[in-house]
Amino acid sequence: MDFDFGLLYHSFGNVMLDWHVMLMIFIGVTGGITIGALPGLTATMGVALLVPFTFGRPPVESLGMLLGIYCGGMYGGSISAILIRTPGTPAAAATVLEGYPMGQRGEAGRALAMALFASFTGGMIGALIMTFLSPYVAGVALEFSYVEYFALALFGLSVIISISGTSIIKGVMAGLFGLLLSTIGMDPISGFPRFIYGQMDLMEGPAFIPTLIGLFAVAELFSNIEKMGVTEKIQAKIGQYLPSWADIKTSMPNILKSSLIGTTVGAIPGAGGDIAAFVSYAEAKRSSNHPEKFGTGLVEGVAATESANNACSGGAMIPLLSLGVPGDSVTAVLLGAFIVQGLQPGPLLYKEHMDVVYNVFAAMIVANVAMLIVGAVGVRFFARVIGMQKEILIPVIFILSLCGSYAMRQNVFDIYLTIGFGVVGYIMQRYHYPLSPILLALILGPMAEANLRRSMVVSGGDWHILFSRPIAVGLMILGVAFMVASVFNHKRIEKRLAEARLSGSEGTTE
Amino acid sequence: MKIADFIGGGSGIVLGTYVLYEGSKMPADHIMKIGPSYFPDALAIGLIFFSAILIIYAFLGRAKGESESISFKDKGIQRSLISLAAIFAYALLFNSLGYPLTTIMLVGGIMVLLGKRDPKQIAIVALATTFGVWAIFAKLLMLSMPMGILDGLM
Repeated sequence: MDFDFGLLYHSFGNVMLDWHVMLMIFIGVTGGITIGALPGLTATMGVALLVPFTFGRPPVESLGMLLGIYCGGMYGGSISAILIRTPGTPAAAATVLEGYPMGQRGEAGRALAMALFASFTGGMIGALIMTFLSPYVAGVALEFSYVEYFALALFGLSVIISISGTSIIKGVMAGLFGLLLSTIGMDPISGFPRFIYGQMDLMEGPAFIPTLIGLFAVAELFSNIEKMGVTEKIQAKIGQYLPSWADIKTSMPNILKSSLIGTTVGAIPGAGGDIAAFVSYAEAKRSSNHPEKFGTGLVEGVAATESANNACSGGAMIPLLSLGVPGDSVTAVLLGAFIVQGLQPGPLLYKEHMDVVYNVFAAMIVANVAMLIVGAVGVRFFARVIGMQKEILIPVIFILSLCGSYAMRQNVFDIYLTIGFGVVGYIMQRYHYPLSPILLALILGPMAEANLRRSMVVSGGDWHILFSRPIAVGLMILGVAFMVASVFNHKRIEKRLAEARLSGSEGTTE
Repeated sequence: MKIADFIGGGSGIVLGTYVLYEGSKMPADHIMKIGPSYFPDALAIGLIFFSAILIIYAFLGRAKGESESISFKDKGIQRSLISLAAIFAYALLFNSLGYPLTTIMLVGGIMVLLGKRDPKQIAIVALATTFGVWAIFAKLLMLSMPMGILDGLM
């Protein structure tokens, strides 16, 4: 599939010349930075919470807003990381290492300015790579039949291992639970109703948005209510909005290198912004002329981590757009938002809605520019938001969650569904069962089942059909290899953590 | 974590067994060999298998991570349970009492639950949230919210 520069140019016109679209992007970016800056509220939660605000809007407006939240959320996490040593999002965890010491030295403004500039540059590089690469990936995927789609779903599900958190067994159990949930409703081939108990609201399965909001927003709210803490007051003075030329010159090699690392890591399903940021930080330290100064508050460190985690969002959009496989929980939520709009990401999107795909490219690039503007103008406001009292924030988010669930079908049943999944999510989180596998399974489960069953219809029940197409076999082998690699990687991380704990306890004893 | 893993694994086995039982009542497909119960059955077997492994690990003392036990005397747990009851009541009364009244009550109630005592601040936040969310959904997105007993006034 060739890249269409004319269509891209036209899409920029669609986005930039329509004030509705621009307004939605700016609202999304502002909401994303705010949510990202607030510790405890993740970018996933932000997108889930704000998806209902896109109901009834044209796709370009809705997707523009959601991409704005995604980009803004990634940057927003750095604000609280620098100011109060609490990363707003997991992707900003590495930013704490250099950003907070800078803030302590009275250079919070400088750190925030570099975080913004690096986020913008990283985000732009990631978005550009996504724009030029994903059409070619989709071009290959256009040849797919039911068999390849089934294999692709299996490959996507193999990601569950790498997003399992502390326990692979619990991650797999969560994934299987999500897959079972995805079988609720009408059977995709025969139409037989499964596990609905006469409840017609479940005929199409558990509604995606209420499930999402329950698992990622309401569960988090219960957790916040249980562990109410004191909100920290911000002491730092912020007087700088953009980095100095000297800082840009010093950090540019790291920004460029980390952006490429971030995009590559983002494109690997299961590897998110946190991994990208730590890998880039390690690389920046390794290649530095003064590695011993890392950890004391170096502006290059902030540049490396922030450019990497923002570039990651562009990378994660590549498998989402071209294959319909979400790489992490945020892109899984975005996939749901596409479906709500009546669009199914994947190769067919390039065939049937090429205009939407190019609008997404343009919106992603514009969202990064909007992030630079909103971030620079509103940095003082966002710093103040971190100090917002939870006693006010929590009830407001409760209302947004419950009304957002209700809004799509205007059905109170969906509020009950949200509450139910909120309770399930809270209990699962408390006992270390990861929630992201459930989301991934809910999306990929129907794809796997429907395409497996259709393949069986085509072959008259002959299982050999699954191994008759080279791409399908390749994807299945890749999925198995990915799972094996994830298990080994998990074991390696556990070993390192155990060693770190051991040396830590020895240090304490001494 | 050991007891929690026993309970988690046990729940997985019960759920898997129940799915297999329900699946046995679904019609079979003799031509394509896999009918509506095939996928849920396969998943249920997988869930039972991994639940059993979790229990075995817990039994062998290889349970991972630490977690606090749930004590109903704990203030945090009590707050969570009260907020759960409050949002459940919200859903129950949403259509009959209407969005505005239920929302004002829920926002105010949770603020009090979380320790806010200033009636002026509670009133302002409750009213502003109710009106703000209504304006977004009803006016901007053109979605109707139930007005309940206030129907006709707004």
